[in-house]
Amino acid sequence: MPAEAVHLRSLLDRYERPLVRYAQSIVGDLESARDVAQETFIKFVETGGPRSDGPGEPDPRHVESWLFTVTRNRAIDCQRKQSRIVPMNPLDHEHRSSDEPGPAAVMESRELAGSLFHLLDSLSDNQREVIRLKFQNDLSYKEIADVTRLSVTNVGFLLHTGLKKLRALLDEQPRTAFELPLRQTS
Amino acid sequence: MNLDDPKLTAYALHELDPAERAELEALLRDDPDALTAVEETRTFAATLRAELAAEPAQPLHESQRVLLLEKAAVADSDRASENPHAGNGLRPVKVGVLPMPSGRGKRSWIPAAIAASIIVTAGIAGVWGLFRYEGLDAVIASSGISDPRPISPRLGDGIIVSIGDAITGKKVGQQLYASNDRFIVDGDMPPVSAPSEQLASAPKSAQSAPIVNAITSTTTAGRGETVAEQLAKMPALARSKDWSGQVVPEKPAKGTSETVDLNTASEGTHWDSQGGAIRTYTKGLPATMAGRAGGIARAKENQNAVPSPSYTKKAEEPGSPADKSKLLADTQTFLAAGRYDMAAKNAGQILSADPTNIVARKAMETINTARERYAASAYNEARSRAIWKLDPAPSGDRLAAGNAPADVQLQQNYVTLNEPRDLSFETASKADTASYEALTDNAFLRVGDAPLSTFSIDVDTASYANVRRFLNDHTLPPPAAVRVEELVNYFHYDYPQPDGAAPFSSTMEVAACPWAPEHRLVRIGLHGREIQRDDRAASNLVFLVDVSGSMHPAERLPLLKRSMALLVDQLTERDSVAIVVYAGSGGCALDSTHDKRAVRDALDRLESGGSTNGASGIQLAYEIAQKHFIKGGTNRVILATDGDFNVGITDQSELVRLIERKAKGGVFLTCLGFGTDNLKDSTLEKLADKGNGNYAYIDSLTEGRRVLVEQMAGTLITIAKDVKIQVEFNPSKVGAYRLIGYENRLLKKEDFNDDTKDAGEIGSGTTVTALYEIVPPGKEIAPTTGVDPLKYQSAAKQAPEPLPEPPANPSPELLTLKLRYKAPDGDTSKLLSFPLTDTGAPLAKSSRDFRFAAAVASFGMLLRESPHRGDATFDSTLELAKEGKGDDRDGYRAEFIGLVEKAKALAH
Repeated sequence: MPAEAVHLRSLLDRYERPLVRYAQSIVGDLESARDVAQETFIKFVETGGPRSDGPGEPDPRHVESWLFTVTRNRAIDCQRKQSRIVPMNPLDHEHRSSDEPGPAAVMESRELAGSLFHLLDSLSDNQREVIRLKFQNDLSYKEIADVTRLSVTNVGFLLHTGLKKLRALLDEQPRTAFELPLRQTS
Repeated sequence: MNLDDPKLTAYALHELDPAERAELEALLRDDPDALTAVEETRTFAATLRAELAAEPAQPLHESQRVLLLEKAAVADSDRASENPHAGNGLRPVKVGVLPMPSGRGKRSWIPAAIAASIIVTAGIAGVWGLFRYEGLDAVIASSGISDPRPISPRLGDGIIVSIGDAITGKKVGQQLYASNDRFIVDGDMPPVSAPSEQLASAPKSAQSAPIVNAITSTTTAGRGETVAEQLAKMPALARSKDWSGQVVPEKPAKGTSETVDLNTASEGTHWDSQGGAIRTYTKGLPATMAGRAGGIARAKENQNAVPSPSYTKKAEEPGSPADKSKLLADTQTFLAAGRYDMAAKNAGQILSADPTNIVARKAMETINTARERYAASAYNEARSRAIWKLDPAPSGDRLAAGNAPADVQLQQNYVTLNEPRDLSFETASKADTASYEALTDNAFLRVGDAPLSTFSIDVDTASYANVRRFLNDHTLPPPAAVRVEELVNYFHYDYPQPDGAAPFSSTMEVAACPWAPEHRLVRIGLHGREIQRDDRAASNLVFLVDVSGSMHPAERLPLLKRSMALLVDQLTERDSVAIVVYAGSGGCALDSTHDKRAVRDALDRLESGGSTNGASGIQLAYEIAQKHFIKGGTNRVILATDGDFNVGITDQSELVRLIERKAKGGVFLTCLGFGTDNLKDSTLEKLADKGNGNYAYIDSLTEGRRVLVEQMAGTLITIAKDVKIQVEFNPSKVGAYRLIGYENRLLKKEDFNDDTKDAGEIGSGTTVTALYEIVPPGKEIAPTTGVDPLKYQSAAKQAPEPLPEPPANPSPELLTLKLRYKAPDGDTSKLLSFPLTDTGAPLAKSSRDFRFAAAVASFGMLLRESPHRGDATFDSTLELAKEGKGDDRDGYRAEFIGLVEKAKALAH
């Protein structure tokens, strides 16, 4: 298979789901998230992705940050546009505004809905986002900084405070709500 | 240091550069609080990773994916021909507004239309995956096999396979059948009528197997036929109506060169493994009814009963807001009534005018989900029925002979479909096939007859987790599932760290036996040297993961993936992981890598029901482990399964030999058991035993954490192997004795000094506990067996004999404990020897750990209904356990107490 298609296929296999999920955490609804992810990949094909720093192919990690960065920017654009659209139908009561839980809706049927994902939504947007990038997508501080255009120090601070807050919230929850106790109590 | 320093978090997450890291580590050395904080952060991070990883992540729509791939192909060809207009011509498609495929032929022929060929070929196979079962039923009906069960779901009736715009009207390129891992596209099509009649009459000759011919991808690819032409050749669709109202030529292709056996075109069998990659659409069926026998019929009635909203077809031009709101309202009505086709149609109309309409999009999403769910269950049911009826599976010979498949992949599909083991899963109502080896409790042995007691240590804990699962399900476990030593060894006891050269310490304690106050209870404890996580040698791990269909339930593969992810979190860059999967045939899902992220991703992608190519799983796993062998490190295959050892070697003794051989070569085996109904408990234990490994049963993420995080070192790092225990009893102090548990670990007394005899391994930080119940000299032993009185022996010999009076032996010692072990890579054993003297301590003077271990043992005996349980009751067990609970930092002892209470309630 020709180079570009091969490359794209492997990227799709690897990042399609993470990017849709990430986009959804920003825009809220799945279809827009899919559009965002698709646009990201289209941009990749059209521009050839990130420039290589030296000779040869760009570092795969670099490609990854690039994909997340583009997805994030598009998702934020998309979300801005959406929030400008005024719901036009009385049936549209389920329309979500930006500060409402996005992924939590996906989890509704799951046991955890009430716990971790719900609690995530009580963090600040920034905290939530760095936590997702770090623990769901396994980006490094540096990569998160690149994607979010925050400083590395800032990322470190957000993660630190975010984790702390989340743990405090978890501890307040009734124990039975969690499948995975942080510390077993006797 | 300041616990609120973000640097601590960064350190915990391995984000500091070496200089900062060293600086912080220096600070941490004297700061236990900060260290604890770091540990807590790591634990929490692992939790978070696991939870976040479990969040559903949807793929793109197939149509979107196809467009992307086309675009890439265009970019490629443009690049190749120096065409500057890269990336033109294709716009992103909005979901739900895919036009009907009536534009066929109008689109331009795209050079190197790879994507199209992929989808087309897969699509056809996918159609077949669904339709052929109707055919199978027909075949079976015509071949006179009777089936008492009613077959109500007529798949062909209810399912529409839709093919979106992206693939229609394109000529088919010839590349890459093999890489098709995706299937059909979104977008709606009118229904295809049931093909059963045609099929019933067509393959009359088929007695043993469904020989319905389908066009294969490989034969048609490259001929430039359109999708419609290809579909037209498929007999199932032959007389059905075309999507766009045209009549498709009614002429099934029959030429042998163009056809292969239906079974081989079974891309549909990959349905499960592809995460819903095929989208199959049904006609207005409530998802909740899907898959149930008769569900479809009932659903149809319901559908007829639902009054149609008056306004449906006229809304061709939903331009005005009034129209739109009416359409929306109708959509909602249809949705509520479960009439998804109508709802989809309306939503589609709205979206074609207003692609951003969120309600319509949501409706589409709901519809798609419902359809997928229905299709999945309907498919599974049809498949299992079909396979069930085809048992015995058609032989593969025909494949090799006539209609040689042009593609290896096809052959593998064939194997998968006919794979007999899947039957057990697919025909779901099968009886529980979990197997446990029944073991008789060790009996009392007279010291005069047997002064030596020899056994191999056992660090397994699976039985406890299994017992817990039963009790939590409000059932008493079958006695054979209870192995007392595994219950006792589940708990960590406070034995000292070894000092000196020995890799483990040994501790002994003796006190009155709680369930037989006249007897003494001896506890022998070993504690493997704890190797700090950071000091441990590099690991070379190969996960051998069962991805067969039976692993589908949440407490199997999904739990496995999450548990494994927890383990991966504990690894560092020095460690490498490979993943080998097996279902019918095995394959390497991930070659050995140090990239944790790649491992996590590969784990993420594991899906049950998949089949992969390659040699047998276990051999492959060992091969990889050998290839990346780390001298002096941990080299281990971790087998995770619900217990079916279809790992490529069917002969079990051959499997055992392989594992033994590899263990001698330094690659050890850990077995992780999952799931319930066909857990081959005893087999797993045996394999782990032979493979110098351990066996754990993982029934929850908590247990996964315990085994793979908290006890990772113990699970992975073997510090001594072939550890054997031999106890010599002093006849002047001991009349008779009984080893509690370890029934399947007993060795002959000669085996103790025989270094060729395999025995158990002890891992870093693990404790091993063995209990002996001792009858002092002169006391009677209660008869334990129910044999009839012997006819030819004198009556005196048959009465429960008082034990012989103690001989005049001056040694005050009760017993001598002898231990033999080898270094993990050693061949010759070392001997340790410790005497024990009984101080006559009452139970009240014993340590908490002693009492707790005794409680666990008596619990085990109660569950096993052991004849030796003496005075033990659940109440006495509870009391003992509560006394012995101690500070119970990790909460496991409290959980135990809860289990005893449950068992007590169940036993009444």
